[in-house]
Amino acid sequence: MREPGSVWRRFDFVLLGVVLVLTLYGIMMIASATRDAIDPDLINRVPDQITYAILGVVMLLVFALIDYRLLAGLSTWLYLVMIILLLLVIVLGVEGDAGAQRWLNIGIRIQPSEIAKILIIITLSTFLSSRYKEMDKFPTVIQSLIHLAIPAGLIFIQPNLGMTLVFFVIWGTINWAAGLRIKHIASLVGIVLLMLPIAFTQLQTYQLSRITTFLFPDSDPDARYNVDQALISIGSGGLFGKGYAAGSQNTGRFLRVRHTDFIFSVITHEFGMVGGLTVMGMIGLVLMRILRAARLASDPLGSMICYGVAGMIFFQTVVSIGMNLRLMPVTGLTLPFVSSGGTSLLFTMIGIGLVESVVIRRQRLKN
Amino acid sequence: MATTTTRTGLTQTDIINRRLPLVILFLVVMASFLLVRVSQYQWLPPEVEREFQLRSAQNTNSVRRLPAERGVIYDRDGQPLAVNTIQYEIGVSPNLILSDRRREVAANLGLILGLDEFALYQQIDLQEQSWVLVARPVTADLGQQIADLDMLGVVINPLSKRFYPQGTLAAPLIGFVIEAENNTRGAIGVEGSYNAQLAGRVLEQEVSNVPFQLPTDADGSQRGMDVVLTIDRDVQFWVEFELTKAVQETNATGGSIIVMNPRNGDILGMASYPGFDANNIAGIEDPKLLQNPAISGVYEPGSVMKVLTMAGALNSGTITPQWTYNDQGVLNVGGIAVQNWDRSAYGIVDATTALAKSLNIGMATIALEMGQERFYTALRDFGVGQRTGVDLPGEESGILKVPGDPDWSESNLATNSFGQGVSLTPLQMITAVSAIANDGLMMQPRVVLQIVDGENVVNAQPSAIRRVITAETAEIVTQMMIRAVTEEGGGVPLAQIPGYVIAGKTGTAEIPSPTGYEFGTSIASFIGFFPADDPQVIILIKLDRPAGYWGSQVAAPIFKRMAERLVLLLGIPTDDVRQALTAAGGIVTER
Repeated sequence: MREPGSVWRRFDFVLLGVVLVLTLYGIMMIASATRDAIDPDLINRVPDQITYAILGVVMLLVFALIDYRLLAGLSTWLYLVMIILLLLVIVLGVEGDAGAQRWLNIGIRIQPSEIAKILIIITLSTFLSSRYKEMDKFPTVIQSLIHLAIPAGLIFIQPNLGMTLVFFVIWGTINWAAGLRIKHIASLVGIVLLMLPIAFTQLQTYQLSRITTFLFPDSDPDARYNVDQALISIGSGGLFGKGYAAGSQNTGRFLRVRHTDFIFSVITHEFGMVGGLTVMGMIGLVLMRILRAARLASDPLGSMICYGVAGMIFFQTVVSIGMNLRLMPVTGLTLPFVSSGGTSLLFTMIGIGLVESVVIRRQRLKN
Repeated sequence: MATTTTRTGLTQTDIINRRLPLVILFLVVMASFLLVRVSQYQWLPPEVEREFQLRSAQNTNSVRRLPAERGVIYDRDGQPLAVNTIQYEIGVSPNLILSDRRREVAANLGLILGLDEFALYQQIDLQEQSWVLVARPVTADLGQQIADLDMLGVVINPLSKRFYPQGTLAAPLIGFVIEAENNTRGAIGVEGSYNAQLAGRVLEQEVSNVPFQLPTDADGSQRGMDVVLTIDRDVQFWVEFELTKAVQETNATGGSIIVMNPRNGDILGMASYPGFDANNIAGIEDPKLLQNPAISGVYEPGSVMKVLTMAGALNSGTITPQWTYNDQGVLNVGGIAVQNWDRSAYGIVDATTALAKSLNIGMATIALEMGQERFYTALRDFGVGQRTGVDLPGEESGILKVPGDPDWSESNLATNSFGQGVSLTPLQMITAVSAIANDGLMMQPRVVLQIVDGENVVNAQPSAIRRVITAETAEIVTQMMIRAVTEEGGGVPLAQIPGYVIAGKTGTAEIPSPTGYEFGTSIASFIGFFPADDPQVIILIKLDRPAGYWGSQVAAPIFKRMAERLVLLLGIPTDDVRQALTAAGGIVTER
């Protein structure tokens, strides 16, 4: 066994540092977005985010110290906890905006799907690393898909399209890392394309309108308003922005859901392209450090966990920024570390904790 | 240590590491999409940035109008005739009110304003609107009640509302204001003719929507100018009082009275019956009521016209006061037979007597001796057929047919001389006769004395239209007009007031209609000025279709009542007092 001091010598402080800076940046922008707010829900956003950030850092360190292989041993239990949590949402859930039932109220409001996406990374990685010999066999692929489809289905019927997609991205990323064969990928893509029409019939009205608004921007002026205002905010921000808490689009409340979905618009409005690139660069740095951890991992399980976390962060970033730029339909996905959202921040931090756990226990040979 | 192998012979770790570059490549490609997109909006094309800046500014700012406070209208002694009162416009900024508080706001406003609470709630339940109009106008009292509630997001904006403290007094002359959101303007009367001065300057300012701002008149430069009228409120009151009384006593269908200072053209009072209430314009059904017949209603003046014929003949040298003619009771001119009012023949009559007894044949004879050229030149000089140019909108020019016009005939020369076949407005008539009162100089009639623009006071200087006749002629005609009032047997005793010599002339005109002159009706009028040797005031009384028919019987007593009030109101001393003062070197103060 290692001497205690070596844990911190292997700990990726760069990763932690960048995550902390990103989180602080986010808190600062949430403060700007909710400044002078009269809505009690908005007033508490900053203190809440700070609370969760502190809790998140603590959990990050705790999970870094826990050997991820211990968690893999608990995989079956974790999977059950995840399913129960998601079932509870359906039975006892609290409605949020747009009629989606995503939250559980246990004194504080938590979003079980945010917890589930970390749990699925652990359980799916565990499942695939135990079947590595059958990775080139199609049944393994199907089994892993079923493993994922149960929680993903429960999230889809909440309904939460964005998070469902995150699950599939996590699945794809981990499978890719595990060695999924190209021909299997192709056949899966074929099946998905065949099932797409059926999926469309299952989408909620607001989800459909988001997609049609994205595909045909002029179809619904009302639905278009948010995206239009986001583009006005970004466009009028220019290279250097209008200055902190001085953006008229932000302070004038023309941007809606600006502390979560459209936080990137607030950033680029007030700090311009420089501010936007800073966020993108920092998240890019985070991804690079996670992929470094994946490469250094002492076993495939560690690599796959890192890939899963990276896939999750990457996908959420692309979708969140993309919808601000009208490259993607509007989904409720948060910009990792930056958007307001306690559960999301806490469990993304835990994800980083898992990565740190992997990086601490990396192969000695390559050290 | 990953030592497990797949069938391809590679360890899983190897696969993972071999696939890493592809993952990184994918990341870079996706990131590039975002980067390109961001730079499209924020960096590359400057015209895109300009467009976005513009759209952002349109979100936050808008151009709002701030109506100017309208100038006040005063009478010549500073009594306010048209003022502004404060009312309120109530608006709501829904974006500043929490959704669950909107019901409360709607309930409060609905209660005070007497509006349907639910309709109001629907109106203000708009998430991103920065301003919604709720009610306008709202009285100062209700506005204060709303202000007292101190509700966040309720915008109370003062509005200026025109008010006429004297009610119906001089309403057609003062006019009224049409209050429209973007185009508040004066209509008719002084409100109309001096709208440019009264209205002030509308400010258009770009102001912020969030927080909601209203434009402000920072330097106070936009207020309209005040206007001081020549009208004397007291004179105007008695003009209207006597007119209404006369119309009711004589069962007349209408009438006008004008009181003017012949020396400077100041109109001291002017009214027609019926009037209207300027504070309740919306309640007026007949738009004709909004006219000012004293300046727009043309009528055939009848015998009053003889004064102008006489003045023109004397001034052109056609006749002298000693001129005589043989009145045979009938004079055939251009195919019509001219007769006197009593259809009798007066034999040899001199000019003064012809006017004093108001003989049509005498006037026709004089006109024929003048000839077309001199006669119509004289009438034109007196302003017949032309607007006086008074500073009020809606003035008519009357109808004067002259030789050469298709509908002029030979007989017009004769009939025009005693006021038939020619139409004037009451203001034209009084202005023409005022030239005689003012030593032959015809003054421009006017209703505005002063324009006050803050510290800057502009006095409207009296101006002459033209010299119509010589002072000598004016003196002779004045003497004749004195005779016309005092003549034994043929004078107008009902017009006389003790202590003052009055120069005047009656008129009893038949009313033309499309089928000839109306039977049994007349326009009875009297025009007179006094003191005859130093005229200070000239009065025109005109009654439409009065019972009693004759100007000397119906209009003259009204002149007398009016004159008796004016000598008190204007402080005109009796002739002997004044002459004694003048002889002692005292000065009669002129108004």
